[in-house]
Amino acid sequence: MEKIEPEKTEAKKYLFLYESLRNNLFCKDFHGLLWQRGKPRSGRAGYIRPSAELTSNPVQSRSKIKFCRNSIVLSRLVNSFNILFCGTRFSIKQQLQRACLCFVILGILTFSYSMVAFSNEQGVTLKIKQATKKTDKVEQVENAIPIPKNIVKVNAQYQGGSFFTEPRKSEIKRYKCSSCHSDKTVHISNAANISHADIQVVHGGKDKPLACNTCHSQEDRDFLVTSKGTMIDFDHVYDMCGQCHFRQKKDWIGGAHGKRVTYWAGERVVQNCTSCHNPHDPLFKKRWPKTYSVPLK
Amino acid sequence: MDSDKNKKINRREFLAGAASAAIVGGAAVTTGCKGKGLLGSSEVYALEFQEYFKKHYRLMTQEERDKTVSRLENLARLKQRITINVDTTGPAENVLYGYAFNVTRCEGYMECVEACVRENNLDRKSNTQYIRIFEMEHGQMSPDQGDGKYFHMVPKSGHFYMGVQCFQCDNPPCVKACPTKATWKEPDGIVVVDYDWCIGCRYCMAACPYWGRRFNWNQPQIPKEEITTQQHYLGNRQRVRGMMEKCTFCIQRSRKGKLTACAEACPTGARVFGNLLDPDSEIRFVLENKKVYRLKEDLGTDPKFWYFID
Repeated sequence: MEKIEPEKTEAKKYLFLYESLRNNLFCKDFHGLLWQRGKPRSGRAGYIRPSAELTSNPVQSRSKIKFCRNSIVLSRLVNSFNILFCGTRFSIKQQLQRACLCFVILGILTFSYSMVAFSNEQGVTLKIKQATKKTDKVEQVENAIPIPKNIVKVNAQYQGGSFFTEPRKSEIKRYKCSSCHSDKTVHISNAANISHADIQVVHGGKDKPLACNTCHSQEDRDFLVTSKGTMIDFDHVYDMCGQCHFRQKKDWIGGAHGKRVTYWAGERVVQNCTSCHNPHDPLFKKRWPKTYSVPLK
Repeated sequence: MDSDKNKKINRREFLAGAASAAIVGGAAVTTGCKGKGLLGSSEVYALEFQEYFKKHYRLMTQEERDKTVSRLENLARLKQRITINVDTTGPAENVLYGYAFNVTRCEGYMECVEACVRENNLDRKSNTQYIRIFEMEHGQMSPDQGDGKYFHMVPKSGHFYMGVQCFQCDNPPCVKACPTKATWKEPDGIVVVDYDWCIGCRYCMAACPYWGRRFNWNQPQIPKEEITTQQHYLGNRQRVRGMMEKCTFCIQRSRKGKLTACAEACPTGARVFGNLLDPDSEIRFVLENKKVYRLKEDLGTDPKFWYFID
């Protein structure tokens, strides 16, 4: 067992203690404290711990021992860093100063980066997220926007309340249908020309082609009828289409399918399903584009 | 001395006054000698000269704006014999315009392009168009892989269509590039150009990563009967040769609460236009419920134009 000279510096003293414990099982430091080499753990050479016989200097507390042990590890770590990056060793005071400086610089960098990141990357997204206050539909634009007279209120609510759609009945030339389609015998001149037997139903695909009576009611020709037997007015045709095309109906109510009529502001008036789609042949047709573009470059 | 000080006029006003007086005088002489009609009327000269000395739009007071508007309307009446109505409606409060384009729904009919050309008084001679529709194969992501000059029956199977126009960036690179501050972002998010302040250097054209800006290489030619008479000072009023122009989300329509011409013309409902700050608007529904993406988002230009998929 060897005794360590007290004139060596703190860190060096513990370093020496550590080194000497490599060779000896027990070692006494300059406080007169007895140290013992720990059992080797997996992959490690072993660690130092105070000996069970801590009787040589009863003044030493366990916290002091812990501090001593930690300071050895820390000083070895810091010294190895210093040697690696600076090529020399520094005193504790210098090391502390450097550590503080490092933290300050790191803080400034992190803070400034976050400032830049928030100011540029999140511009519109942030504005949208912050805008949660409901706006006044009618007063949004200075000019009073005329609401078209020929509209019907939809039997559903969108995120902003009730809205309107274009009517269908006024678009059907010979409505009411029951004026011809009734139990009574009616005499119509020129009936062959106004008959709509020429309508081709291209709806429902090859597997499940639709017939006239899939949508049109047989009992009352002025109404449509769903598969569950609910009578639907021609103006509320979206309920009819929505029984199969429920996803499109959901989008139409929200605003991702279909379009508004003329105005983005004011009361919400949207086009009905039949404003764009022919219910007997709903797919858009192949045709020539309206115009053409010339190369930019 | 005091009265002298009060009467003091600045250099710009002096030049404007002196020059217009000289021109009116000179024109009067020429018309007197050579007869009317050879050099146009003296009134046109006077108006054009006063136009030449007006301020930047943002520096004008409302009174000055009204004056220049009346000059422009008079010039159109005298030179083209049409009655136009130029307005200077400002941005509405709590409005930020946004646009969404449904790439699944667009069928490439190009109705929007035609409506835009007509609405915005674009040059018919060089076939200037703000909107370009790219025909792209399924799986392609960027419009530079697509075909922007298709002309055949549409929709072509196995293809989808992607419309590109000015995206009204929230961080617009064109505004930064302009050396004369002739282009700027309005508070409602629309990037506009003061046509009379533009010097035609085309720096903004080079700065825009989306090919969103157009240059007038020649004097725009529009058939008289096709001119849209409802105009906006920053929007579709008639341009001259050598200045930049761009899509303004139809500022003359949108500030009056109307949809843009392209959105109104779209036969398939692929175009959604609205107020981003209104939580009930259609555009907000699209952003919250659909798969959306923006073009070249990594550039940090923050465009207010989203593409979405059904």
